[in-house]
Amino acid sequence: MKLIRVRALIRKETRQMLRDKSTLTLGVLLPMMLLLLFGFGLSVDVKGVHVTLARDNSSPVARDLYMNLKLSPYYFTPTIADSWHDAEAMLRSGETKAIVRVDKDDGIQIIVNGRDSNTARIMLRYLEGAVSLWSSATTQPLITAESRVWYNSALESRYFLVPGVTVLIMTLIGTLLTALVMAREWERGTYEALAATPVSRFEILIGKIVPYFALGMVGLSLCLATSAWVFDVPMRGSLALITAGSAIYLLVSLGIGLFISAVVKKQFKAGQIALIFSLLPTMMLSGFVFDLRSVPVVAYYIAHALPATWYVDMLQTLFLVGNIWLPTVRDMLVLSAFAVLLMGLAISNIRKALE
Amino acid sequence: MEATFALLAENISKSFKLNTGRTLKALDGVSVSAKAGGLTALVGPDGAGKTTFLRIVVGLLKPEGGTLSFPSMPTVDIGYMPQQFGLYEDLSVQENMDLYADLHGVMEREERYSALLAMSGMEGFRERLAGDLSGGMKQKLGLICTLIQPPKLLLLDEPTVGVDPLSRRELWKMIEQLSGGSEGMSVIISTSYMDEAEKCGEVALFFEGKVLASGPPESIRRMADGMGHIVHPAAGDTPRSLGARLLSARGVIDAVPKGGAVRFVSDGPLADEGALRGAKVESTPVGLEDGFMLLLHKTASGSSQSQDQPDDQPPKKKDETRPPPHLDSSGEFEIETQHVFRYFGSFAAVNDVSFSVRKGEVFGLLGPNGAGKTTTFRMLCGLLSASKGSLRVAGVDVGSGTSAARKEARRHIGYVAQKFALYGPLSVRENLEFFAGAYGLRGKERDRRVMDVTVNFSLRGQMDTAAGDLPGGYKRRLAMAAALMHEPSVLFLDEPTSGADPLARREFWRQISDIAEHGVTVVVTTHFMEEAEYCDRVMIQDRGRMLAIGTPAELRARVASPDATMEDAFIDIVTKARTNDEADQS
Repeated sequence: MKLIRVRALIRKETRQMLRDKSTLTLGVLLPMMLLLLFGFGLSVDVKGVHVTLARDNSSPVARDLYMNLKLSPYYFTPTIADSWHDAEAMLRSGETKAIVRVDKDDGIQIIVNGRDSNTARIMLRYLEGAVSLWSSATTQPLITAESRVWYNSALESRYFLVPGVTVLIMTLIGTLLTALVMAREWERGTYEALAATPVSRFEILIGKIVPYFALGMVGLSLCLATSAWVFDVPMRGSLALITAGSAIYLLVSLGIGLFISAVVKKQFKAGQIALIFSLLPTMMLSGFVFDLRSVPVVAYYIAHALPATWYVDMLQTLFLVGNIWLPTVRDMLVLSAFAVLLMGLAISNIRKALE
Repeated sequence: MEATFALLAENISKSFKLNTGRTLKALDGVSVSAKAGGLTALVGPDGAGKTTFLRIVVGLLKPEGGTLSFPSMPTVDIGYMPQQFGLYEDLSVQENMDLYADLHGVMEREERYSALLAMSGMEGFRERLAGDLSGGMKQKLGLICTLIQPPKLLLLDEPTVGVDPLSRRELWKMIEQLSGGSEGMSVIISTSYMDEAEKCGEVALFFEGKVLASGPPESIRRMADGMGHIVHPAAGDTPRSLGARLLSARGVIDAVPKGGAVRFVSDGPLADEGALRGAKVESTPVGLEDGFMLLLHKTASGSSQSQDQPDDQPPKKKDETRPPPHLDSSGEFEIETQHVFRYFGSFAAVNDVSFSVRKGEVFGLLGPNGAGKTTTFRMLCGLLSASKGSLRVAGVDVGSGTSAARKEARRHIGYVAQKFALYGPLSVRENLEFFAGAYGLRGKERDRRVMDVTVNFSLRGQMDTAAGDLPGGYKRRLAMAAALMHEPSVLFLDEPTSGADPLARREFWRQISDIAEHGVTVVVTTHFMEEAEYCDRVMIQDRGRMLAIGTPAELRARVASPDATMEDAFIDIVTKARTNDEADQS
């Protein structure tokens, strides 16, 4: 390996990267968009639910409950309907998501629009909580359960999603971009000219990795900065650990991209494969959106064969819990093993010969 | 003795596994030697094994058998410029040079840069992005990058493919300087141009993975000694159709129109005197190309399958005595354009072009890269609208006309794109049926037309082959068959012979000749100047403007020299116009 050659390759790659608008769009603009989109747009929290209070009599109970819902920590937007009939019409038209009915005898019934089962379950629990809070204030209960939520005490799904998006972005930059750039060398015939120079395949690989690793780290800093200052995600673990773990994952992801393009040699195919075998599983199976404990066994094992799963686990732990050494070190070791394996595969498939 | 060779390759073999599971023998016991300090040419049709051979020499492929040695080089030092040279288009000329200098570990580079840039006439372009260079300049830059660290042995794989005649001359000047220069470089170059091979000390003729002959050009030329003839067409006949008839006559190895006459090679007296229609035959000296055609012909007729010379020749037409074709001189024009302009932004890609093409005429559009040929073409086909001026094709206004008018015009137009628009995974039959359907043919009518074009283009043996697996010559035929499916009155072909070897090109022009005799107007663009001889009239374009129009004879007559070739005429016309331009500007 000669430094002058590696430097020349890195410089060439960096120039190409900076001049190619699509690379920068994909590497910087898209991550920011994804982060903002997921951070603000995708939330599995149930907030500001529109609830209609249907009262069948004019007892003060309904009035009291209304005030309580309005002030409850779950943050409802209640309205009052003067008849069951009106309330039902509102539910039907989608104006309201749930009805709390106070009947003639001050009995209470909760009705929830169950179309989206997840949201419905959460609404139901919130409403039950609010109602029982209200009733416990009026009557003296025998036992009071004091509940606490740890690690994400505000139950903000954003806290859990934003680290996940970071994983997605690292995968995008690492895999998709490198899969395309290496395949481009094949397609444009530049690879044949390179191969005829004294350059070794290891040098070619280093020349590809360094600039995209740098771009990935820029993407990572953007993600971290956004999560800290825009979304106020707590960062309980150390920044150094987060960075180190992300760097390892970035190498894994670069390895996948280089491996794909060394094998298929066509930009279009490389892009497709990167999307289908890397980006989609990362979204669906890494535990970034869907909790892996509730997936079927097969999916569970598939998920754990994906490097992204380990990275998601590590990031969520580091962000929300803190420096917990055992799982963090385990995740890092698994990721390092993936990195070594994939880089090895990439280099053994980048042949200098054209066979 | 041995030390005088830069390369001794003996008995090299190499085969590839195809996707279909078959094995292709790319090289079958090839032996080539290249003299140190000399210029050696590898010639032969596409797919003959030239590129595979060069890749083996440079070490990118491993041979299955045979030996390679480099007697004149104590340490192996080879420079290689692949066919599609890997320039980074988003890097500037300077940055590309720097990259290759670094990769080769060249430290003292500034002097080398200036020398190479001066030699190629590219001093002013250091800051230009490689992607913005013309085709010829890209090739020159590729050569420069290969030469930054001057190798002892330089391998060039078809460096002049797709390069216009002007740039081709400049590139050759560079190559000749290298091999003859003080650096004493040995050069091996593969090419499909015979005039280039003639400039080399040694040539090796590749064919289907074997070397048919090698030696000095003179030795190969001499094989055809005494076989060269020239014949002037009788009154009412044209060189093109005479040439086509001669090619199908027995004993004729090669026939091409040249300077208003037909030059042909035959190994013996002409058996079929009828093809001449009474014209008188004189003998003429032969060249290297004739020797090659003779060798190829012998081998091709011996082996059962040659890709471009179909063994299932189109059935001989019964009306052999059909009167020679006449151009419709009634003044009826199939294509008329007047003062056509086309701007892209402020850049005039086509600048005030006017011409007309008569029914049944074969009309050629010539010009260097970026001359505006393709833009002109696209406007004629109704694929692009004109910024100004009028274009009428088959009686329809396609320039400014409505989209309905253009649609109407397309019913009379057949178009063969440069990269034949075929569906690779579909079979020949499926492709033909698809195009028939696209032109609105159904039922019996469709079957009849598919049958017709199948017969006319001798595709019957390949009906179930996937189009993507066809050899180049068959692809071209299939593309033409598809374009003629709806019996258009005008056929447009964009660079149909680009990248084709001489055999395939002869075959192509014979088909064009046939099509024209059936009254179809043919408009064709080409890089090969000698192909202009097949055209009834040609137009030369450069930098968007029309420089000259006329019959090949008229254009040749513009050059003072009596035996000027079409290429001389072309270069003369283009350089004169450019010099005038520059004079106007200063």
